Amino acid sequence: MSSSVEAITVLSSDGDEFKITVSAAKLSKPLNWMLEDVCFSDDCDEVPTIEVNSKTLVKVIEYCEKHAPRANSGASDSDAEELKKWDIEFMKMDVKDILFHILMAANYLHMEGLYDLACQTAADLMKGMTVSQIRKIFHIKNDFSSEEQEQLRRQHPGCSFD
Amino acid sequence: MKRTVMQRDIPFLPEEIITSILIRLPVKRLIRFRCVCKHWKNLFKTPSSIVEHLHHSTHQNPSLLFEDKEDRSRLRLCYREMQVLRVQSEPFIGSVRRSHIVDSCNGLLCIIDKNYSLYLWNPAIRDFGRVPKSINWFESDDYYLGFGYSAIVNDYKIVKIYVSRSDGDLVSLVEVYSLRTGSWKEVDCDSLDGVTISSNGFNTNGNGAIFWSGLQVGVEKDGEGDIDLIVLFDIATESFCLISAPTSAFTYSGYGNGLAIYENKLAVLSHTLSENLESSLVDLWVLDEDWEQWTKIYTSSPYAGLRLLPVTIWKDQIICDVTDLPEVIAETKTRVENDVHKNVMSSLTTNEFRMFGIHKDGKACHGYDIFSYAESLVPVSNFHIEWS
Repeated sequence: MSSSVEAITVLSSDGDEFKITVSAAKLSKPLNWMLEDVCFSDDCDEVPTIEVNSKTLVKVIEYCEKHAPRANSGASDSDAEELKKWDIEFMKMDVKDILFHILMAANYLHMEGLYDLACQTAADLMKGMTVSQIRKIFHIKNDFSSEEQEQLRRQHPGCSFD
Repeated sequence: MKRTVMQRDIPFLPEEIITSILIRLPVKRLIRFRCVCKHWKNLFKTPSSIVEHLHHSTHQNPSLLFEDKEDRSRLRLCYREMQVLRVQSEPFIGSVRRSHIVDSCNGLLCIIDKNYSLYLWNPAIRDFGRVPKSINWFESDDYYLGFGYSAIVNDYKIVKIYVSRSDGDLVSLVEVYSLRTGSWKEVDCDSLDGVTISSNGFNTNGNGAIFWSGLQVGVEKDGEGDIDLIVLFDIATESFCLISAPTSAFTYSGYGNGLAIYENKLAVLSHTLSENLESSLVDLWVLDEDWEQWTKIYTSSPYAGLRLLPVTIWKDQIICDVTDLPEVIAETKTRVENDVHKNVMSSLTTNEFRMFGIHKDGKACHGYDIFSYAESLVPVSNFHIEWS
């Protein structure tokens, strides 16, 4: 492996090119493997594709680049505190917009930190939602019959199907 | 033009990701979202999802439960950064004054009432059940209780250790209740020959065992040969084992010492007064996994003005009750008389102290019993059905 390589180029599922540094790519096992494969070949003309759309990949790479220094070297408590604040700002996104794409990408790229963060963000957003809003974002149909709804209401007074 | 994101832009999440999100929700929301669809209604009834939820709840959101010693139906839950929540008591518990919590484990509370009846209660899902009467039913308090869980047998057990008041409080009989079988049985207690349990009542559970502080009564009449020890009950094998105490500071009669679980290991919290009686400090001892070797892993800095009585460990904090020191009673009197009951936390990482208070709601308060708690979906009433 050539040690001079500092960044690699990857393609998004939309076909756009993105650069990601070696240290940032190490946050994801599959990315790390890709990196090793690319660097082993002398003529790096084959650009690997990541099955994540451009809009999401920008965010994922941004997360990796921010977290790479700490993941690779370990850092002080004040850095951890700063990173926590950064994570909160980073996660200020709409569930309808990009959050679920980030979740899928973090799952696909085996990025534990980002996956936990995105799951917690989704859970926090859900806390303020009604049952019908939840159905919408998860593409779920209300499959309770009116009799079943009535029975559940009797068993658990105050439960809502809307 | 107003731009709206169509629903079709939101990807369909695979089942595993949805579950990962849902286990991060508080139990109250999970119950509300049962109405989403039939699949979600049954999702958190499977043993594997209950365990997954419990694991997350225990590690990400460990809480402390404060039980008012004066009015046991008043429960306060302390979570995250010391946010305090009132726990809604079940009517049956509220009506039974002088009932109290035996111990807390995986979101279940074992409770005993003034008629010596036992209950199991999961406050998060508001599920409870009455434990049947034990085989040897005496209307007395000549026994010590313990409650815990073993993953090996996947069962919750209540242990009742009877002592003989006429025979120097020595252990005479042991009965064990299994939530899985729903019945009591007597177990062998030969290994507890000559042993008595500390009436200070500190017991704890963790890692498949229940612990009490005890004493091996010596042969000599003057009590010279007495040995302080910890009585361990292995929930899976239903057998007892005696462990010597780590320090002379942790004694059977020791006032204000605690047993706790720290990083999945048994921990002893002992306190020492300075020579001039003006400050106190706390030591933390941890037992290795083979239950053989004690190691002192932490000593707090001295705390001036109050006597620290360590109760339990929460995250990286030793939680202490406090009482006045003999030398400084006049000064501390004001602290005790205001509207807040004070406890002290000693940080294992920063070595700093922090005082925190729980409001008494204007009522008299003689302090709290404190338990580790994590909300869970573990059922009580249908336990044997759901897990079999």
